[in-house]
Order: sequence, then structure tokens, then C-alpha cells
Amino acid sequence: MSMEFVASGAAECRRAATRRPRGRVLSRAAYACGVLLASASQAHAYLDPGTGGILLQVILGAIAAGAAAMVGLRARIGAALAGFRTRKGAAAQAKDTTTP
Amino acid sequence: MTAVLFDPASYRDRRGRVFEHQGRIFRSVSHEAAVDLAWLEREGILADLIADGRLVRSWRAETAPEIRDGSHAAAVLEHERLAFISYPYEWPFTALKTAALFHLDLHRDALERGASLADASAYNVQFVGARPLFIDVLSLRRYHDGEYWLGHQQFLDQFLNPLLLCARLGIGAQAMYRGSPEGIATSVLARLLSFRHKLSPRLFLNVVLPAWLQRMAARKTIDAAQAVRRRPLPKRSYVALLAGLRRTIETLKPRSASLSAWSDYASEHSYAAAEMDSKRRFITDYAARAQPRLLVDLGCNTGSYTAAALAAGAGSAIGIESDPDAADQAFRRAEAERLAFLPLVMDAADPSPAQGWRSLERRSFAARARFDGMMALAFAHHLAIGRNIPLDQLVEFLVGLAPNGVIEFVPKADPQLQRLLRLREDIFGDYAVENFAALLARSARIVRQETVSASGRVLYWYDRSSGSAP
Repeated sequence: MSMEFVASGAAECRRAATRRPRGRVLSRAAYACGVLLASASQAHAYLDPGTGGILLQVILGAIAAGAAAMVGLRARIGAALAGFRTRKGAAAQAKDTTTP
Repeated sequence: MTAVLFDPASYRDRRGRVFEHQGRIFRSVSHEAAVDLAWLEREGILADLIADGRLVRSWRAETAPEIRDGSHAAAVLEHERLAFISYPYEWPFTALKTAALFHLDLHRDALERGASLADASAYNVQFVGARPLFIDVLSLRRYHDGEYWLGHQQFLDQFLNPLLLCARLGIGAQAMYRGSPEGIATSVLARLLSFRHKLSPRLFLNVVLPAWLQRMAARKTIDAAQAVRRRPLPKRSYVALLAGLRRTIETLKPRSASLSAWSDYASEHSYAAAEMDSKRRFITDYAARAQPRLLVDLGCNTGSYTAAALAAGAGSAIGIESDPDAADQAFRRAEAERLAFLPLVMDAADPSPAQGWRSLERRSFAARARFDGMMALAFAHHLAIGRNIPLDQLVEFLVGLAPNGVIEFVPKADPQLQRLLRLREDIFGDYAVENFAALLARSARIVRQETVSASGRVLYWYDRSSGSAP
């Protein structure tokens, strides 16, 4: 796994970061668990997942999304280029037929 | 109605509790858990895993006994009772590795069927011989799209990190794991790794990075909850994570930093071949006639005599071996030959204590030791001479382990004992075969004895059950 991918994932996390307000707050892990419980489709679980593992999964998920996006982008570029080549070819053919 | 005994280790998950009643093992299932359970049954997941031999045999209890604490369980399951419970901090390296791969495969197969595991506790895996078995039915849940692997950190702490301690640092993790039953924390392992280790991509991803992320979260630099809310985990990432861990663990091998005095034992022994044969014949005779259902082999080393006892008629065996390398070799033998044999890394002079919540959660070795037979070959002198255990206490301890068994007495004239005494003052005036035999005869009947070496080693078969002849 290349370092850029990891770095881009970490940057993604940082963009999501907020400065926590001062004062008493629940521990990060318990809060994360609470959020997971609150979201509609998340299963309940007794276990405190721990922030390290969860954040690693966030990064891996971001990397997978990034990779998928790159594949999609590559496909679109390829399709655009193929379209361009076709138009160029058709234009050249048209020129041939019209040239006496 | 006899009392219901709740298992003191079963308290974390409010969706169910394990209890014992009239020697049988049951699990109460809450209304919430019963929904998932019914779904698992409908999908055939439970039945398939049980048929595979991967999940402990379980069934709905027909007549559910009264549950004393007043919780109105929606259902009660009964589980097949296991003959012996062991803990991850007692397992040799290869056993923990096998358990880790087993857990990951189970999780991946569950995901394929739309299910998931709620946690990744190493204590949810038990061994029957050298074969892993999953025992926590309620850990299986329905998978919800986008959910995270909540057991990830627990998996690292309880499976991966102890393996890495041995594979990368050459440290037998058992002693440290026993002192830290919730697992070896990633932050601790990160501190122990050298810079060179940290450059390895696998260690960076699975140790350094999670430790760093944990520190950043603790310093409030990252808000984990926010990150999680924005991005559900795609299933293919979940599966890829499990697959990546599996690839990492597959490659791990134990690295023995210490000069193991015992793994070469089988080749470098002070026995002639004929002497080994008479020892083996004695063991075979004992096992064939006493037929112990559950045998304990103290100082089992690489398990060659344990295998002989099993072949001759012992039902199953637990090995106790203080050298992690020898125990690991014994486990690999048990795996390869499919023996009903589980070797454990343990010091007989300091067996696993009771620990955990209220010191009841993880039972002591003594509390779990319900053996039908025992073997202590070339072992007693390690306690008597090596650990200065008085002979009378030693004999009492040995015969207390099982109603019958075989104990080998090694005299001072033997080369192995000469080696132990070379740099020490001989304070063991009473260490002599006559005293040993007299102490043994005080607690039990000597069924048979035989001198098996030119140096004067004697095997004793004792039996302390009243009036029974094998």
C-alpha cells in the first residue's frame, strides 16, 4: 500500500475533524459507538471498538472510494478519447471522399 | 429446583448470559437477540456452522430451567459441554495463529451470508484437541450495510499483537498475555518494535498506524465520531480488511530467540533406544488398561509420549509444557496427526491463576483440572531440584492431579540430574528413590513399577482410587 494513499486518507479524516468544545464530553470511543448505534442501520454491540481500529477503517474506506473513483475517472477519460478518435477518423474519411 | 449458576465470565453482553444447571451449559437469549437468532436459524447459518464443526453444538432448550435473576429471556439455548476450557494466554504460538485464521475465515464466511461477528474476543475460540471451535453463538449477528468492524481493535490486541511479539521479537507472548488478559495493546507493541520493523508495510498498517490514530484521537486532533458518520464502510473494504489480516497472519512464524533446551530433547536425550522402548511400553500398558478419558501430561515436551498414550487408549490429553518452542512443536504434531491433544504453555510450579473480574472470570488451572489420568515423565526432578520443591509436597501435588497416573523418578546418578546439580550445592539430602517410593505409597497404591534405564530411572504407576484395579 503506497504512502500517498494512506496520506490522502488521513487528509480526508483531518478535513472531517472539528475542534471539540471544552467541557465534559463522552470519551471519543463511547461517542463513536453511540453515533453508530444511533445511525439507522448499525447493529447494536456491547463492545467499545476503540478509536485506532475504527479510524483505520475510515481511512481504508476512503482509499477504496478513492480507488473506485479513479477507476471511474479512467473509464470516462478512455471513453472520451475513444469518442475523439472516432470523430477524428470520421472527419478524415469525409475529407478523403470529398477530395477529388 | 437446583440453583442456576451463572458463568462469571459471561456478563459483558446484555443480550445473553451463560449459566450452568445440573452439569449442563445453557445460554439465556434476550428478546433483542432472539430476533437475530431466529434470522440466523432461518438462513441456516447456525446449522451449517455446526455441521462444519466450526460452531459448538447448540440447540433450543426444550424445558428451559428457571432463570433466577428474573430476566425474562425470550429463548434459552443449550450448548454441548466441552471437556476442558483453555485460555488464549496458555496457547502455543501456532494454536493462537490457527485460532486467528479460524476467526477471520468465520467472519468472512459470515459476511458472505449477510451475517457478521459483533466482537473478536480470542476467548470465543476454544480448542478440542488441536481443532478450533467457536463458542459464542450470540456474537453472530445480522450484517447491516455500511457498518464498521467493531471488533477490529480487539482482534489486534488479542490475536495479532501476541503473534507479532513472538514472530518479530522472538518473545513468547504467553507470560505477558497472562498478565494482560484483555490483550497486548497496540500502543505497547508499537513501543517495542524497532525502526526497521516499523518500515515493514504490514507492521506499519496494523500496529504503527492504529497506534498513531489512537494518540491523535486522544489528543482530540481527530474526531472519530465525525469521520465515521460521514462515511459508511463499504462491504468490499470490510472483506478486504479481513483478507489483508489473514494474509499477514498466514506468513507469521515463531522466532525463538532463546536456545531452547528442550526442542532438541527428542534428538539429544540421555536414553539408549532400548530404554526409550521400555518407557513407551510402560506408558502404552498404562493407557490401555486405565483408559483415562482426559489425561494430563506434565512436561509433555514435543508430545511423543502423549501421542503414544492416545494411541494406546487415552481419550484425550492436555499437555503442560513451560518451554514455548517445545509446546509449539507439540501443537504442530497434534494438528498434523489430528490428535486429541492440546498442549498448553504453562509452568507447573506456577500454573495459571484465577483472574479477571472478581477473580472468577478466568478460572485457575487447578479449578479446571478435572483429569482422569496423568503422566509426569522426566519431569518431577525439574520441580524437586530445579525449583527446590520439597519431595513430600511434590508427591502430594502430582498424585492430586488425577486418581491414577505414571510418574518417573530420575535419580541423582542420571546425567540429566548431574547437569542440573553441576553449579549448585546439593542440598537435596532426601532426594532418593526410596524416599520417593515411600511418599508415593503413603498416598496411593503402586500398581506397577519398572526401572527403565541403566542410570536407575524408575517409572511408577500409582492409583489412589479406593479398591479399584485397572
